[in-house]
Amino acid sequence: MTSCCAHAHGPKHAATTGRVSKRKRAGIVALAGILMLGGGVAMASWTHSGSGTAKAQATTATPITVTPGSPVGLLYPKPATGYPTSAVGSIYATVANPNDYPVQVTSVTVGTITVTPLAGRTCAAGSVLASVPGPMPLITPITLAANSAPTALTVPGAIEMVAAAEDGCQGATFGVPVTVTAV
Amino acid sequence: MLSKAISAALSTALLLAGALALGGTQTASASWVLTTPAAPARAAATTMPTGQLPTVKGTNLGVLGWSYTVTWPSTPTLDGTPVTGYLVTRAAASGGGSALAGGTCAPVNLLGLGFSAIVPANAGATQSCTETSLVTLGSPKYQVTPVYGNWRGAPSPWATAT
Repeated sequence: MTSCCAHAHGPKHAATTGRVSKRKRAGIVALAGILMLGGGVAMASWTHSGSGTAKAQATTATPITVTPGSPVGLLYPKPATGYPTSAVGSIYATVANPNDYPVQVTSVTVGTITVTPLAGRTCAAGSVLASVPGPMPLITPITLAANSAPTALTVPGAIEMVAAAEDGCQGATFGVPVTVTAV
Repeated sequence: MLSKAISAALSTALLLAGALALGGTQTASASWVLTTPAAPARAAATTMPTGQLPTVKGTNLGVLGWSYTVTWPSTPTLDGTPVTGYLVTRAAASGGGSALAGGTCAPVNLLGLGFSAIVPANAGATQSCTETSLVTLGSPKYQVTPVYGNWRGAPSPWATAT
C-alpha cells in the first residue's frame, strides 16, 4: 500500500514539481525578456534625446571638429541659366572626428555668410547666399575613422553669388558658417 | 504536453523579443546624430580676365572721315561662363582722336572722350566693332575691357590704328 501509494504519489509529485519548475523558467525568461526590452527602450530613448544621463552609460559623443579649408576662387555672379558646374559654388573646410568610433558626415547647413572684399573694394553683405536653405545632403558622404586627422571637406554648389553683385566682389573671400551633421 | 509546448513557445517568443530589443538598440546606436555648432568654412570669388590687346584697322573714307575696325580675341570664360560684353574705350593718340564719331563700338564719341558702351559678346573666338569718325583729329587708340554683369576686368593695353 505504502509502496503503492508512494509509487502512486511519487510520479504525481514529481510531475507537479516539474510544472512549477517550468513556470519558474518561463517566468525567468519572461523577466529577462522584459529587462531586455526595457534596456532597448532606454537606449532608444537615449539615442533620440541625447541626455547627459544616457551619455554616461556609454562613450561620449563629441561633435566633429570643423576648421576652415583653403578655398579655390571660382565664385562669380550667377548667370540666368545657372552655373555650368557645381564646382563654382563650392565651400571648403576640414573635418576631424574626435570620437573613439567612426562617423559619417552626411549633410551641412550653411548659415549667414560674411564677406571680406579685397583691400580698397566693397562687396555688400548678402551678395553670397546658401544655394539651398536648410541641410544639404552630401552626394558622397565622408566617412571619418575613429580619432581621425583633419580631412578635406568640399561641398560643391553650396553657395551662389547674386547676379547683381557689385564689381568689388571680385576676389573677395567669404566666411561660411556650416553646421555639419554626422551619423 | 500541451503545457510544455506553450511554455516552450512562450520562452522562445520572449527570448526573440529580447533579442530584437537588443538588435533595436544597435540600430538606434547607428543612428546617432552628431551636429557641430556652426563652424567656419571658406569660399572665394574669382576675378575677371584682363582684356586682350586689340588690333585697329583704319580705313580712309575720304570726305566722310575714317572708319576704324577694332578686333580682339575673346577673353577666357569665368569657369565656363563667357563674359557678356566688352567696353571699348577710345582715346587720342599724340593729340589725335575724333571730334565726332559713331558706330558699333560706341553710340556717340565726341571730342575723343566718347560715351563708352558695352559691345555684346558673341560666341566666337574673336570680337569686333567698327567706329566711323566723321571728323578726325589724328590717329585714335583703343582698349577693350571685358564685362560680366556689374563686373569689369582689367582693360587691355592701348592699341593704335594702323
